[in-house]
Amino acid sequence: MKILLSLLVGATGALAKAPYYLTETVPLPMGEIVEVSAIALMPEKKVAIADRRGQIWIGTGLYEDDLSKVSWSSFAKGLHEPLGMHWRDGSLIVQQRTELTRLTDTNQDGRADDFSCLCDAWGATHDYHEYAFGSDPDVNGDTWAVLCLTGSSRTASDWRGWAIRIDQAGKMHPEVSGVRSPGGIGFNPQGDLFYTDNQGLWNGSSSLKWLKPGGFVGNPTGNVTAKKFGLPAPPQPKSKSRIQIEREKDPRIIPPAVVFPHAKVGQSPTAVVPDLTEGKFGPFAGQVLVGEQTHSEVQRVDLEIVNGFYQGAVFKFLDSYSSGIVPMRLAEDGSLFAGGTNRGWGSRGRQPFSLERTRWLGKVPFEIKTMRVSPTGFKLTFTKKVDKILASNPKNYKMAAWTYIYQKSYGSPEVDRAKPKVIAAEVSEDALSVEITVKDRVQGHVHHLDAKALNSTDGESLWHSDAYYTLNEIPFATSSDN
Amino acid sequence: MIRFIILFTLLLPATLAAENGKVLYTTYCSACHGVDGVGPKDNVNPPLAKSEWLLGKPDRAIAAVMVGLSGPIEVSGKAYNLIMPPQGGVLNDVQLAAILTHVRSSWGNQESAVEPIQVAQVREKLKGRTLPYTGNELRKEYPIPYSRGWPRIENLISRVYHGKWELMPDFSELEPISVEEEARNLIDVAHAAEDKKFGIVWTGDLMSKKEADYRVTLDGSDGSALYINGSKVVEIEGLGHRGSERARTQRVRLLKGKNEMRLEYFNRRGKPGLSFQINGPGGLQWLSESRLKVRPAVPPIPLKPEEGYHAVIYRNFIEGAEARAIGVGYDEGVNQAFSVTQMGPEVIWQGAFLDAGLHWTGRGRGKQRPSGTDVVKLLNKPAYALLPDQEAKWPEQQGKSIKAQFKGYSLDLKGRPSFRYELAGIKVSELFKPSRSENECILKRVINFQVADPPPSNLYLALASGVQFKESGDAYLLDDKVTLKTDADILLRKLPESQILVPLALEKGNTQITVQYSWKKR
Repeated sequence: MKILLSLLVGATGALAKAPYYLTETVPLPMGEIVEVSAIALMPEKKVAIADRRGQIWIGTGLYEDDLSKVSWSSFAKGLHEPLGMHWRDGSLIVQQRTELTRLTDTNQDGRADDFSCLCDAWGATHDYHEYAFGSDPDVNGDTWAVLCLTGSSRTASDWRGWAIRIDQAGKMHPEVSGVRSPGGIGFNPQGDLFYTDNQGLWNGSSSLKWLKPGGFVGNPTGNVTAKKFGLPAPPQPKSKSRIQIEREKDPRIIPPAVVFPHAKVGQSPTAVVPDLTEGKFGPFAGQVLVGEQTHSEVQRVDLEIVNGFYQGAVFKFLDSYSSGIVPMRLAEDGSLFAGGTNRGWGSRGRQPFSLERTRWLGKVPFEIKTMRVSPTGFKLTFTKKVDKILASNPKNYKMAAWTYIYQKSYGSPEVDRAKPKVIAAEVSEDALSVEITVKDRVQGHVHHLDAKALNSTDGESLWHSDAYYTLNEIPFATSSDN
Repeated sequence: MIRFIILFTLLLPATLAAENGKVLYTTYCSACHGVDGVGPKDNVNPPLAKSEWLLGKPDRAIAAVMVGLSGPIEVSGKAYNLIMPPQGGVLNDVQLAAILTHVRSSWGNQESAVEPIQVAQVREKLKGRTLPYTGNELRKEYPIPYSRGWPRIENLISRVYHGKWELMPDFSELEPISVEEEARNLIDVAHAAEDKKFGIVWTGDLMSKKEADYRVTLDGSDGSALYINGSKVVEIEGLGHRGSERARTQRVRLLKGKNEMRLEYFNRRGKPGLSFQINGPGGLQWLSESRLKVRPAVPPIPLKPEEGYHAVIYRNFIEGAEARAIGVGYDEGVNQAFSVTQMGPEVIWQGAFLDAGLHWTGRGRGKQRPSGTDVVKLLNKPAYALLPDQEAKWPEQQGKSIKAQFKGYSLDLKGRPSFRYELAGIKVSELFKPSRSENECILKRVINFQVADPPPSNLYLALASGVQFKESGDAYLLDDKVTLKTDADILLRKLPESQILVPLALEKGNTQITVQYSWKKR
């Protein structure tokens, strides 16, 4: 019977379609509606999930090959839309909408019986849109939360539109203004903090933004709270401008590290997860994975710091998840857990909710592994050796560039179109990287590289041939570059 | 054959019947309908891929799967005549919802997901029915809508405004309270924050496959106006109900490709609703989510204590309580919303606790009204204050004279919470003991103050504030609904404060106060 079933599942095409990664459904508690909103990894290979109905479940068997034996127990109920959760010193630390809470099972009966309020110093109204996404601890042990604007457009309570830090004594520190409508928060492998913000007011397109303490990330709506509490006024950008222009006027404006061009690379980015698996999740160790709610996908981001600012490229990566991906966790063994919900906001994956596990099958896809800026163009590295004849022909690299209007209105079309031209392509001796020389790059623009003309030495096409690089800064040539 | 299918399904291990619609479909349905929704060439069973029978609301398909189908039926222009066995007895609501969600979203089908509650509603409706549907009967009961084709909306954005208008306001002068991308690209008033006194402006691109004349129809309550490429095309002015003679149709010429669309809408009173359709080459298209006369009711999700527990906690927006308040419903038929900002029971009532349907469907907007009766709002101001004298005005906000900081709650073995907080260095805990007798139900509240350094002697606790009360013996009747009794000394303050206060002359050590709220049972 079991063999028959697995054959039938295989026949639906999941395996045949993506030979590099396998995404499997993790059974959820029977008969329950579990709109997964946060995931925490626990000791003894247990996994905790929180859902939008305010429940927490603890599961075992999620790392086993046979997921049909996964079992769940109820750990807590009655929380307010938790959107962040991690395990710490025997407790689950949960970011609820209005409170950071420590949940402990003091009598060891499997259910939380103590709910300690660690911090509730930010404002709250009855607006459903005042979401609060919480981070894991930073290097100092503090946690962060990004607080969505009221109705995603205004400030009806304190610290809406801010990233706040909560220290271990429970004191709140407002750190970064300019948030609009976050979808997730997480660290890169270096421990710097990022969050995703959705296209909308002051966001021409969705993007991954760097939460540099003391910085400003774009939307000035939350600045009023700084005034109310006597903090220095954050930047007040001019509408209908460009990020690049405004940040030249005020260096506290931190440009989006990586813009996800609307509809081309998803529509609602969510979780931010570093790949710390050292290769267990494929050849992208050290990069960042970003969830995508509307398109039911996972994107891949390669970041670098240039002249003090983060920037980098986004590549499409995994798709066809069952629901809208919101939380994710990448475990040490290379299991990516992705939770889904599409209640209130539709998703391509049409299941109302889901939990899925994606694992690398061990076969390396031919991909652009990284795209990094150089004084004269970009350096591309590949996961497999490139066909040198194709890769050394500059005509095989198509490039386009554009930016967005930085404005108070919702979103932006792609504007200021430019045509950077690849005029030279030099393949490294090991055929794993190519230096392309690009004429007419534009600082502040998204640079779209289409490399579908390339092949690997085996004649394989790129699994994903598009890269979108956000060029906030161009490095100066140094003597070693010459 | 039928018997074989049912036997096969009963043998399945329970864990495999998780909410994976694809797996369930493969198991239960694909033998007849094919893993690809079509099956082998010349399949005697009708296809599900791009079947018109799946369009629109899922009720038609739920009903067919629930009790089965028999007799002649036409699907995608071909005639079929077989028996579809009923699945309602074999599959539960979650499983059926998962299967239908998969079917409605696969092989070119692009219909909305199905919620278990929708299955439950049809199941309830069809309870006792043993006969399968015929195709004609099903079509009559659940008419098949037109398919979603062209023209269609793209890049839809909604802006919601608060206000009370009798005529369409100039929205450009107003500040929206929310701005959202509507990825489903359908007009839907359900995403507004309120039922009444609001307006929405949608902007987007109306995409047409060709340049042609179309007829657009608006029907809404209250007012609405449609602009295409900058010109007003159709308007329903002023106040009035939908589905009446107020519906308006006008002709409009659409350009090939993108047509700039702006749809303005407001609702002052009554049920909100707006339908928007366009008719022309390619047939009739609905561009609004709702084709009903009124907004669909929220499905009920009543909350009760779990098996083995005596209380249920619900933390979400409760009418009358502040945004952080924690709702607690007790087995004994008493309920409270405990404010962690004002600090104390803010709203109490008897009977049923709360319904989560409002918050657990859609985006979860709005405040939920207590389900039970005899609701009393106990606090309109913070529970604690330092008063310079007994006539002084009570502060409106926490933190002006004294700030209480919520510290959390712990649950007893039956899931009943006791709350804790701190103020002026005092550790306070509040324990609740519900009980009921033949005639009344009681919520007993035990407040314990653990004092190291005695606070100022002019510290007061409000047991009730802004509540009408009548003295009756040693008790107080609040709003003619709830009787309050306490062992503490009381200070009564008449209007405008209308407060029942406890002067807290706290000394070092532990002090305990007991308060009891009781309802006559209904």
